Amino acid sequence: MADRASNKDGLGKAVTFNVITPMNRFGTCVVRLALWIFDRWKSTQNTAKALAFLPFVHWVVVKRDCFPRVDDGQPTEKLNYDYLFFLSTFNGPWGPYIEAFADVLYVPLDIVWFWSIRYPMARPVGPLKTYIKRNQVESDHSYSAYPGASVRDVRASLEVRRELEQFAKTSLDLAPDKFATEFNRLLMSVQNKLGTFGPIPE
Amino acid sequence: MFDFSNIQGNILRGYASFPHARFLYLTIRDASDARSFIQSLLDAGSVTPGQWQEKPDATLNFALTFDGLRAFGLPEESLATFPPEFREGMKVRAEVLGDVGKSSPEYWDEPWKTSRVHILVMIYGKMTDALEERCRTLRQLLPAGVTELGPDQPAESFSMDGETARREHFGFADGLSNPDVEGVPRETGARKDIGNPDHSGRFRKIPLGEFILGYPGEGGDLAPMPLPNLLAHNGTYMVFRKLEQNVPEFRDYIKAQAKSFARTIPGGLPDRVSAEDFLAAKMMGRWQDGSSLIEHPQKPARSLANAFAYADDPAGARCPLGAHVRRTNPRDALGFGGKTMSRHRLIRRGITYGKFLPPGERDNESRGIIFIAFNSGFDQFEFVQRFWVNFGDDFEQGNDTDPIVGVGGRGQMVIPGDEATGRRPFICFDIPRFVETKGGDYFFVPSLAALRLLASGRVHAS
Ligand code: HEM
Repeated sequence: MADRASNKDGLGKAVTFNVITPMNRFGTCVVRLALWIFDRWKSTQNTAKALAFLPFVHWVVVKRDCFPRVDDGQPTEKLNYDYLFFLSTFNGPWGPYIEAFADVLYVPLDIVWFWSIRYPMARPVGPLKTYIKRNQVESDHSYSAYPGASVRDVRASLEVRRELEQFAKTSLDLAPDKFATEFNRLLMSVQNKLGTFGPIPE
Repeated sequence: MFDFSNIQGNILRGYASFPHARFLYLTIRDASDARSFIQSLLDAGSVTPGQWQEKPDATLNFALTFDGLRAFGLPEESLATFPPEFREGMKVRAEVLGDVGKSSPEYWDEPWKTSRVHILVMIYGKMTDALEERCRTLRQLLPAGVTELGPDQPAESFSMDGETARREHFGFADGLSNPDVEGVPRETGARKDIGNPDHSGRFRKIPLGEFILGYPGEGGDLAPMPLPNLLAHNGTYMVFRKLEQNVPEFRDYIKAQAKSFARTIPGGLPDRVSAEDFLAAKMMGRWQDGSSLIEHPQKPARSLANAFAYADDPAGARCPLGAHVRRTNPRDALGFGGKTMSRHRLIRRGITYGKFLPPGERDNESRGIIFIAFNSGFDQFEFVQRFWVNFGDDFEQGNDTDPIVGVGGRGQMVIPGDEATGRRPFICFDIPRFVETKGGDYFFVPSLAALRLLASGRVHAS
């Protein structure tokens, strides 16, 4: 199992998550339209983006005759359905991730997954969990540039760095008392971005 | 509606008016002895339900571990339907829960260290004689096939002069905030149970299914039910942990940090507030007298009001994002109409053990909290313990842990500054682990009807 990247310091914070579900042809059209709308009007993604434990979600439609083959020697499969790939990474445990996902994002989930065979709807979440378990595919390999960082850690670090670089530039010639005032202002602006960082002790 | 008189006591309503307690640990050597023991107590009406006609002088309740259910002779088909965390028990979950180092099971107190308790007997009394009397009669009733594992655990709540609220050993008022549950009348007095937030910023009651098996919970979901239904219905799961508090170490640490903390306050400390008290309050999220930092950011106000919310304090200028109470019940702090926190609530019924250590004194006594929490699945407790107490990502605290009860071990806590008053941010470094685990387990608390079923020995999974 490689749902989480690891290095010498331990397991990474982000867990990968893949679900593959079969869809009928009509569903394929609707899902493509829905995904186009999500893509076109970025504001439809605001709620998902605000869920900080959720670095990344991605849906892809794979038509029944478009599955990749290793080479031409591999016979083409004859499939009865098109498939919807759901790819995501998240921080934290599986159960609460699905619950929060279903509680907060049930509308887009239902719009996109409704067309998948036997999709139970996002709420209540019990049947959804069973459905996902049945259709989830483990990752064979996952790579993370910063295994010890969650999305929040990365965002926070980038902001601290930006502020610090700015401060380094503007504080060069300040008198000591003015420097102290400005330093305190800097500290206040990044105070909730200073948590310790690294792999989660397991 | 549900039947209060079929649910055991101390779950939906607390035993606050029974300040003396004793926990006895039993092991079953003969299942039929165990059954007749429980049967005789039920016949005598000795098991205390959630509702009584006349208030008893002492209460008696039972809970069982997974090994206990098996020792009772529950068939394998039924045992297999219990959740995995419960089957494993708390010792096996040690790493997950942060029970490592000096908190690991090899250092636990007896009987936890070497045995697995089958039955936990919880006895509470209004007065000590009523408690003693109840313990004595119970012990006399023990048949040969059910024996006690020693030592038992005395516990007792204490309060400061003239106060109604109980205190815990670090000096804080405790037992103030519990979930406001649908169908349960609010506890009386100044204390107010608190529900889950909705999108409008108001608090709504929490569905019963979050705490009692067989009812819908958040999102209409039913917690997984062990079989048969009669065994599970109106029952719940209980976390029982003996948490030892290192009071001198806590006080020393606060004292050592207080001076530097005071320097972050430009105009000096508020009237009649010591730097120690202020700093300790920042770590807990409430003043020692129980008043909330949200409503009373500058000084304690002897208020036990509990309907405060965090959304107006997003940066933690009043209550730090990493404070114990803000972590363990973030209320509206996480946004999304409370939907990312609503499934992680706990009913707490803890009680202190050991003598209160007067300020300035030191001794070698052990003291702490018998932490008792009810939930309809151990995933609720484990989530709070793992991700809110022993990790900080949800609160923008990175890997920082809870400053009071976290595994920490030389961890840190950021106390945000306050633009309104000019107080500067302060970082507590090298926070020692103040609370160590000394034992405990995961228990199932059957309804009275389910106890009767167990006592009959006629449990079939289908
Ligand atoms: C010795 C260890 C502990 C001490 C001294 C302690 C102390 C306190 C105090 C003083 C309060 C505020 C009073 C109140 O709301 O009742 C509180 C609240 C709370 N604690 Fe702890 N606690 C301990 C362990 C834990 C643990 C291990 C958990 C959970 C894993 C926990 C969960 C909570 C919760 C959920 C609240 C209520 C927060 C709210 O609703 O605002 N506590 N604790």
